[in-house]
Amino acid sequence: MTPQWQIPRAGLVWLICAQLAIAAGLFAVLPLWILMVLVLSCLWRIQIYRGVWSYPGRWSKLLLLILNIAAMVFSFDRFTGLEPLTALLVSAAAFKLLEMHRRSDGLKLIFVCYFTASLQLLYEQTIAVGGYTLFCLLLVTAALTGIFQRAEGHAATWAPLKRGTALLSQSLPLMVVLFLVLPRLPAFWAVPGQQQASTGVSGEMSPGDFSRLGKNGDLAFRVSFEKGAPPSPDLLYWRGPVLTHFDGRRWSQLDPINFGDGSHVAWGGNGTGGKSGSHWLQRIQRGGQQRDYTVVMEPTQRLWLFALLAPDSNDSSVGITREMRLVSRQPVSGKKQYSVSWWPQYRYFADTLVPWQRFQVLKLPKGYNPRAVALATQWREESVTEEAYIQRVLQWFNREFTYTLEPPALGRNTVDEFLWGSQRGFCEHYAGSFVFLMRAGGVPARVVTGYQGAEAHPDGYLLVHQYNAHAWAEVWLEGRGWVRVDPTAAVAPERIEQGAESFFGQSATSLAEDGFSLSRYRHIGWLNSLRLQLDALDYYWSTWVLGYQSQQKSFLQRWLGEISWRSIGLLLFATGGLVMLMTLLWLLRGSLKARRQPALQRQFVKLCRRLAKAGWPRASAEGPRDYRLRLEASEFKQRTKSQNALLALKLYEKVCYGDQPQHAEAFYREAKQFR
Amino acid sequence: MAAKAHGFIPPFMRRRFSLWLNRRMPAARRIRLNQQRLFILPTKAGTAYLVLVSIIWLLATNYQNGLVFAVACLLSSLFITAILHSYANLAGLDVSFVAAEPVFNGQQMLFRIAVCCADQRQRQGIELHFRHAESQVLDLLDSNRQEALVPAQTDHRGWFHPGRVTVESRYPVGLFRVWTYLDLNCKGLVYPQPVEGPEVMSAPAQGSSGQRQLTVGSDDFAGFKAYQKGMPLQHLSWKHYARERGLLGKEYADAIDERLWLRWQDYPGVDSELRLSYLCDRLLDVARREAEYGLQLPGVEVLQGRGDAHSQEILRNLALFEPGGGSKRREAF
Repeated sequence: MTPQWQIPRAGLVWLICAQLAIAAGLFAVLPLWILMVLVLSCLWRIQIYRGVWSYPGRWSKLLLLILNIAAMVFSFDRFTGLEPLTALLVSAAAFKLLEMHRRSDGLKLIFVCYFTASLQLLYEQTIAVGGYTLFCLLLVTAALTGIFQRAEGHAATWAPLKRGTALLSQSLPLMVVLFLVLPRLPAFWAVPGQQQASTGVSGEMSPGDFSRLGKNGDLAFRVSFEKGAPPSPDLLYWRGPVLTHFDGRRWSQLDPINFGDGSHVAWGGNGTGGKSGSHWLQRIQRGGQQRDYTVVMEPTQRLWLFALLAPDSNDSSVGITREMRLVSRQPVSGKKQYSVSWWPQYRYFADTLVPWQRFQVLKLPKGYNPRAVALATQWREESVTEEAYIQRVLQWFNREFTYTLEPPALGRNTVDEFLWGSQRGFCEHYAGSFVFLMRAGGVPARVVTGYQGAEAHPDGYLLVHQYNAHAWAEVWLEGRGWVRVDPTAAVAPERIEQGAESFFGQSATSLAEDGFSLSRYRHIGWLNSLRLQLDALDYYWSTWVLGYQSQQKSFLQRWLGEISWRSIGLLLFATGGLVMLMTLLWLLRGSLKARRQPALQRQFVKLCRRLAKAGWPRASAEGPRDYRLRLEASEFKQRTKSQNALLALKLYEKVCYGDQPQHAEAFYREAKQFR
Repeated sequence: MAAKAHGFIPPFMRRRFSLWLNRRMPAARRIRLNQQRLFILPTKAGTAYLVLVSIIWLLATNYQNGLVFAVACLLSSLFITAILHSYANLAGLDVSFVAAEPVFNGQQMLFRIAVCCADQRQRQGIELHFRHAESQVLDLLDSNRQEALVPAQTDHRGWFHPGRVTVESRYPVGLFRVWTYLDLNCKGLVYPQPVEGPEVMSAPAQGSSGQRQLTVGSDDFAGFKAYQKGMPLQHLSWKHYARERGLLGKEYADAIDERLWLRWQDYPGVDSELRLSYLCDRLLDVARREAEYGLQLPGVEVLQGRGDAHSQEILRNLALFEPGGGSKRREAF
C-alpha cells in the first residue's frame, strides 16, 4: 500500500513519546518482549518517516502477527483478565505505528493510547502513578494536536506540547466539577481481578504464616473514628477470617456450603433487602455506645474486610456473615473504603448453638496430638465450669511459655510438640493449640484471624500494619454466646496492651526487614515524622480521591443542601458554563483586544466631543488637519485653552500620520488640558 | 467534504436551507466569522472519542476505580474544551473575495479569497472550498493575511457564480468540524469555450479606406501543411496535435487586408452557443497574429483594434452576449 498521508513530524515525535511513556508506566505488567517490539516499531517508524525504510509488506505483517500471538500464548496462560488485555493493546498499538497510512489510523492509535494510559491506574493508584498517568495523557493529547498540525520546523515540534498543556489545563476545572458531582454507579458486571500475590492475613493458618507477617511493615488498612479518640489498644481486635476447620496441621475457613440453614451473608444497604431475611441476625444483641468509623483498606485481592466486634454496615457492597465478620461483594482489588458501626458490648448466638454448628466447632482430626487430647479430657473433668477450664489453660500458658517471632520448626503433631516441646511461639501457636485443647475438652471453639492494635497517627487516624497480624480464639459459652479469648495475651500481655510496634521495638530491626521501608527507621525522629507526613498525604489521597465515592453523598449534601437531579444539573450547568466562558475569553483574548479602540483614538474622539460641546464640531468628512486649520482660522482662538486643543490636534497628526509615536504622551496631556 | 455531507439531502430541503442561509448570512464581499456564522459539530473522530470515553467510564465503574473515573471526567472535559479551541481557530477571521481571472468555459476558475485575522493568534488548517470542488488549505502562522486560489468548475459562459464558499477547520484536535458557508459575492467571467469552426473567408473591412499592407508571408491564415523542421513554434497547430492528428504547421499567406471582422453571420444555421465558440476560437487565432479585428454581433459592435485590452473587450462581449436580447441571470447554490 502506498502511503497517502505522511504524519507530521510533530505528531510522530509526540506519538512515539506517548507510547514509550505509557509502556514504561506498565513496565511491571508487560513482558519484556513487548517493550522490545515497541522500541523496534518506533525505530522502524522513524526510518519510514525519514524515507530510509519502507512500510512492512503483507507477508512481514503476517509474520509479525503470528510471532506476536505465539509470544502472547507463551507469556500468558490465560487470555481473560487485565494483564493479557494490556499486553495485547500495547503490542497492537506498536504494530499500528507501522501501519499508519491515513490520519484516521493515527487517530485510532491515539485513542488506544488514551485507553492504555488509563489502564495503568487499575494496577496502582498512588499519587505518583496518578501524576504519571496525567503526564501520559498530556503526551497523548500533544500527539493528537500534533497530527493535525500543519506548521513545520523546529519550533513547531514543541507547539503540540504547548497546545496539549493548554487543552488539558483548561479541562481540569470542569473535570473536578464532574468528578465531584457525577453520580457513581455500582459495577454492571464482575470483572476478573488481577492475579497478584497478596500479602496479609490469608484464609488459612499454617505454621510460619504469621511470623512472616510479623516482620512486614506494609500497611494493611487505616481507620478513622468519626467522633472522639479511638478506643484503647486492647479493644482493637480487627476481625478477619474465622478458621473453624482443622486438618491436624492447617486451620482453614469453613466452606459456606456447610451452612445448612439460610444465607450465610446478609448484605447491607437498601437495594438488596436480604438483611431482614436472615433469621440469625435477630440473635445478635448489640449494646454500649455506637461508634462509627471508616476503614480504607489496601488491596488484598480477597473478599474479607476487617472490623471490630460487633460490626454493622449500611454499605451496599459490604455484607455481614454469620461469623460476625464483614465481607465485600468483590475482591478488594484496589483501595477499598467502607464505613462501619461499632458496638463495644455484644452477645451473639447466646441462646443456643445449632447442632450442625456445634459439630463443626468441636470437630478434631483423629490420631493427632494424643497427649494434648488426654490432658484436655483430664483437665475438663477436674474443672467445675467451662470458664474454670479456660482459666486453667490460660494460666498454664502464662507460666511456662515464651513469646517469640522465631520459633523452632514443628513436626507432625504440632500441638503436642509445641505444648511439651519448644514452648516458644507466637499468636498462631497459642491460638491454634488453645482451640485444640478447648475442642478436646468439649468446649466449642474456633480460631479468629485478623489484626490487633494499631499505630496512632498524629492526625487522629489509626494505621494497621501487616506486623499487627494476629490470631486469637473464640469459645462458645452457654448464655454468653461466642466470647473472645486471646491466649497470646496470657503469655505476653504487653504485646496486646502496647501494640506490636512498641513490643517489637526492642528488636526494631526485625520489623520491616526490607531496608527501603521507612518504618524500619521509626526510632529516628525526623525520618519517622516524614514517614507519618507522607502517610497522611496518602491517607487523604485515598479518602478524597480514590474513595470519594463513599463520601460523595455527604459532601454534596453539605454544599447543595438537598441532592436532586435538578440541583446537580444546575450546579453542572452553572460551573460548566462559567468554566467554558473563562476558557473562551482566554482563547479569544487577542481578538477582543484588537476590537477595542486604541487609547489614542479614544482620546481623540473624546477631545472632538469636548470641542463639539464648546461649539466647534468636526465635520464628518473633515480630517484632523483640516479641522485644525479651520479652527485656527476661526474665532476659536479667542477661547480659553484653545491653544491646548490646537496643539493636541497637531500632536495627534504627528503621532498618527507622522510616524512620531514619541509625542503620544504630550498629546494626552494637552488633550486633557482642554475643557 | 461538505459536498459529501449534503449528498443525501433532498432538493427541497436544500432550497429551504439555502433560503435560511441567505437570511442568516446575507452576501457581502467581506465577512467576519463569529458565533452567528460558525457551526460546530463533532466529526466521526469526535463520535469515536465519545465512545472511548464511555468505555473508560465503564472500566472505572466496573472496577470501581476512582482514578479511572477521574480520567473519564478529564477526557469528557477535554471534549468540551476542544469545542472552544476549534471555535477559536476560525473565530475573528475576516474572509473576503479578492478577484477571479476569467477563464474559458469548461475550465476551472480560481477564485482568490483572502483570509486575514485582526489579532496575532495563529490559525492552522483553514480549508476553503466550493460545493463539489477541491479544497485549498491555508495557515495563518506568521502573517495575518493569506490568500487562497479556490477552484470551481465552470459550466456555462457569462457571469459565473460559484455560490457559497465553505470555510472549515478541524484544528487542533480533529474532534470537531467548525464551518460556515459564506456568500462572498464571488463571481467571475467565463468566456465561451473555443471550438474550431469551419473556414471562413476573412471579409475585408467594410468601408475601409484601403489601408492595405503587403507584408511577407506571416499574417493571414491560409491553411495547414505537414510539419517541417525549422517551422516557428507559434505556427504549429497544437490543437491538431492534441487530437492526435499529427503535427501540422499553419501556413500564413500575406495579408491582403490586416483588418478583419468576426461576425455572427459568418456561421449561418449554427446554434448560437456554438457560434460564439467558433468566434471565440477564431478570435484567439487572430489575436495571436496581432491583426486588427472587430466584432459584429446582433446589437453589438466592437470596432477594430488590437492588443490585449481589445481582445479582452471582445471576449467579454462574447461571454455576455445574450442571443435573445433579454437578460438571464443564473444562480448557483
